[in-house]
Amino acid sequence: MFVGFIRTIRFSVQNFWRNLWLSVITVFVMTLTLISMTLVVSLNVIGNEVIHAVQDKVDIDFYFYPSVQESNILKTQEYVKSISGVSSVVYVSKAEALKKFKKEHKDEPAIIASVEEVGNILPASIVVRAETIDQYPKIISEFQNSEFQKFVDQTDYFDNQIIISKITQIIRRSYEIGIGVSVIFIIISVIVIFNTIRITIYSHREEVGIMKLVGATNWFIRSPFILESILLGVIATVITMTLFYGLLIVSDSTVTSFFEGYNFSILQYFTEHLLEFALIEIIGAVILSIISSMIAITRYLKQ
Amino acid sequence: MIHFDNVSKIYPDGTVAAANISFAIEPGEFVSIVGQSGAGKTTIARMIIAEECPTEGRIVIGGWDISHIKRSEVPVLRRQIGVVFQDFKLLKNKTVHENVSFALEVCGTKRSKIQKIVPQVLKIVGLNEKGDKFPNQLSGGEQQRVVIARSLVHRPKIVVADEPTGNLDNITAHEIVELLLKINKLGTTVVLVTHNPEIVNRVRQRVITIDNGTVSLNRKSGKYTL
Repeated sequence: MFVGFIRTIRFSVQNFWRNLWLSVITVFVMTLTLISMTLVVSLNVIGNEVIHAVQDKVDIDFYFYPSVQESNILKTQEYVKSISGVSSVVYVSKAEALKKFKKEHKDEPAIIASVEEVGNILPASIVVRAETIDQYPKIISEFQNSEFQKFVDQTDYFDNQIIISKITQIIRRSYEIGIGVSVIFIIISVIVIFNTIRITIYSHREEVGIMKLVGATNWFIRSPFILESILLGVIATVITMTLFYGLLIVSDSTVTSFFEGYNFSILQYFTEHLLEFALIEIIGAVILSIISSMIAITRYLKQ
Repeated sequence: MIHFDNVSKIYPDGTVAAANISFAIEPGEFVSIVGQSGAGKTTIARMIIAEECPTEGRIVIGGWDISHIKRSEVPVLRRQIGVVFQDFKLLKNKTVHENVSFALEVCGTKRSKIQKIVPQVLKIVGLNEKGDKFPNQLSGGEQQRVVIARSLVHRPKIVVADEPTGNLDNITAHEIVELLLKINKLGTTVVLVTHNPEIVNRVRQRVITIDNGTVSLNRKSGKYTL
């Protein structure tokens, strides 16, 4: 048993080296498949984070008429707070609005000068944030039916709504395209991997014939090829993980700056899930190569 | 040792390779199976090593009915029968020693035993000095001797040689037949499948003649006649 196992390992390593070019091509194709799958998963992760980031950025400003007393604004604030689904309501007074405006336009002296000349014309407002993005229409409708509606000049809800739905649509579409491209790529890769392994086994058909002739069991004949396939799968996974990790290190600053103000780092995310990714990829690659080699070798064993 | 009882082999396309063949080969016999090309000789050889199963009839090897042998049992049978083919079937990237060892390695034989058996069989076939040569460094006759050596490593009770001299000149062919006779004298049953009349006539042992898938002649000490 032990002698057989050691010989199986020896034969599989021999096969790998004696068909080095075929082995390299198989590993290359498998690596491409794994990279495409990993990219789709990353796209999904980033897409979800983008949706969360956009959701976090969304709020509605209720701008009050200049004549509205602060006491009424505070009452309105209290009322909005009491609407279910509202997460926070922040009051921005006229003075605070001016301060914020000046800060945002500090490099534009002409604008600052004109504001100082005409005085503070900015309205007071409350910034309403919902628990989830889909609760805004309900909050708006409830507010519009209340007695406090008369204090409010305008809201920016309808502008935001268009942006939110567009971003969500773009992310969903790019994810669907990614999945579609990957499915096509995976099907092509499976066929290529299957044929590459078949060619490897074809190049050993004479050896397989002799093994059968001298009384080797089918399992002894199969096992070096299966072991070789596992070896190819593991090498492809290691290369994929290394390349992908390198890509993450290079692109991390770009992705992180995209999520500025949010606690998200793609490198950190994958470092935390490295083991899961490696396991899933190794299992996927190994299963794919075992199935391919089993089908290919069985053909010669039946002859 | 080998019993064929009303054995027929009909291929899916309707070709009848063997029709109601019956014969018995006793232990230690040297039997030549002769016939023209396409007569069904090779089909008989292939059925003996279970490369083909009979459509009808019964084949018994050493008391074992292999007519409907399970696939998992074929390796067990093959280890008891040495096989020699016309086209040698040697691995070009392995030396003579490695080619012979290979037959033992793939069956899980221990290294120490391999080191003992291989020189012995190489000596029997007269190649003990050429163990480190590759097949392409050997003559046709020498290559066929390697195949014979490989067929002997399991110490088989039967050796089936299907046209072993087909690719060899007359002198070398006679040397190979002499070697098979030597192996037969050591107690191994030899089944020689050939269409070469000269060889059969020289051997002067039992001859079974196959014609159109049937046994046309079965003589204890015969000549090649069709």
